[in-house]
Amino acid sequence: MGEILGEILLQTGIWHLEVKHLIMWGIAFAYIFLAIKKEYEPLLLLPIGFGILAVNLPLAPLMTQEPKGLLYIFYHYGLEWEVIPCLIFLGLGAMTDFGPVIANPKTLLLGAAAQLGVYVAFFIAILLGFTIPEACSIGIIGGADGPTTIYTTARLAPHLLGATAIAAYSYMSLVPIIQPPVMKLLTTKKERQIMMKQLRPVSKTERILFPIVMMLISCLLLPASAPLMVMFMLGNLFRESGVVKRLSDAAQNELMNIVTIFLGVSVGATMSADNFLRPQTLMIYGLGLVAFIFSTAGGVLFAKLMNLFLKEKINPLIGSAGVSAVPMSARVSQKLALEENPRNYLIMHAMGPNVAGVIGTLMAAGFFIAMVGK
Amino acid sequence: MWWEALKIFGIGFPGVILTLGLMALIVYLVGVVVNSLQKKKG
Repeated sequence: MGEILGEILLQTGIWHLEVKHLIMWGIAFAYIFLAIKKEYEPLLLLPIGFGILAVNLPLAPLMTQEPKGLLYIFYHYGLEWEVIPCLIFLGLGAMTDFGPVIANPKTLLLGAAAQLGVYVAFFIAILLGFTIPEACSIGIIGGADGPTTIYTTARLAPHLLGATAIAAYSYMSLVPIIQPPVMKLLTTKKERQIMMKQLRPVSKTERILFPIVMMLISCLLLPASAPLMVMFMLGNLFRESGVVKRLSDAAQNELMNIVTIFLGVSVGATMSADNFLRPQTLMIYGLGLVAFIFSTAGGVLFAKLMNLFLKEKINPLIGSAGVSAVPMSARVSQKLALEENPRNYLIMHAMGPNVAGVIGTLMAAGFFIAMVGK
Repeated sequence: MWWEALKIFGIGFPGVILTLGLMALIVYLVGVVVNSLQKKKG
């Protein structure tokens, strides 16, 4: 009887619980708390938190490869096969209004300059002893684009997926705290008060041609960016064509919601104690912050540089919106401009570099994958 | 390793700026063409 009880006990998870599991449970509960109580990115933090909790249950066959665990199947087909980030981009495309970029294409340059942090973090990561593929995955956090970070990491350094994804989404929600000091430090009061001319109206033809033209240019120049870019622009064409409202709505709502569930749970499932509780993880968090700060600085400084050559000056505060985090970083630009002048509404101008930042991060990821990808 | 890292930076960052710069130019030109055609039509 005692022997049978002993055997049963050995097969329970309780017997195999270790301190590392309890630490991960603490992290999982923190995410669930932040999602529910503080409403920080709840659509992601809630499934991620639950995924962390589930994958750190000893003996539970969730992430096992043989037999294939349920979460492993989500992870394998969703992230390793790179399906989920691409589907997220379909939804994002259907939700994005490229009107401000079409009306003022110069803002695409701000989206490019704001990738500075990606490369600064890349170099520092190498200094800290990360390999080149790992450094690329860490650097791309600076693009403030969750799906692109996941896509790049899944390609180049899948063992860092949990840490890079969490860092990217955590800092995205901290944009209103991280960006303003950098923006104020790099601009004068006079620059922050610059008022910009209202954007011209954009015709429907231009809106329809934009995704087609952008897809052709990016995929011909940088084929490595094609999977994300094709889906992004297809979603946008659904939206702008006006003839497939059902598809556009489905991409923005039902599909996006379903994919977000699988994304969150799969990312959480990569955070097993053995994978996550390493000094590397802390370093990745630190580097993510460095990347965000330099990306913000890159956008602001490039806007100032452009002003040296432009007749109609641009407010350098919109440069920081080149850090993709849509639409949070555009809102930060707006808020700071209003602090200086309560009549200076910059939001539409800031949306230009904001959506350009998404394209910029896609291009940076494309370059990394083209040059380092296996 | 450092040589490779420098190569990635040296090609990557200017590459991103040039690619988006080219996109900006093409988007601007498409806008000019479309608007002038619409003006003619109107």
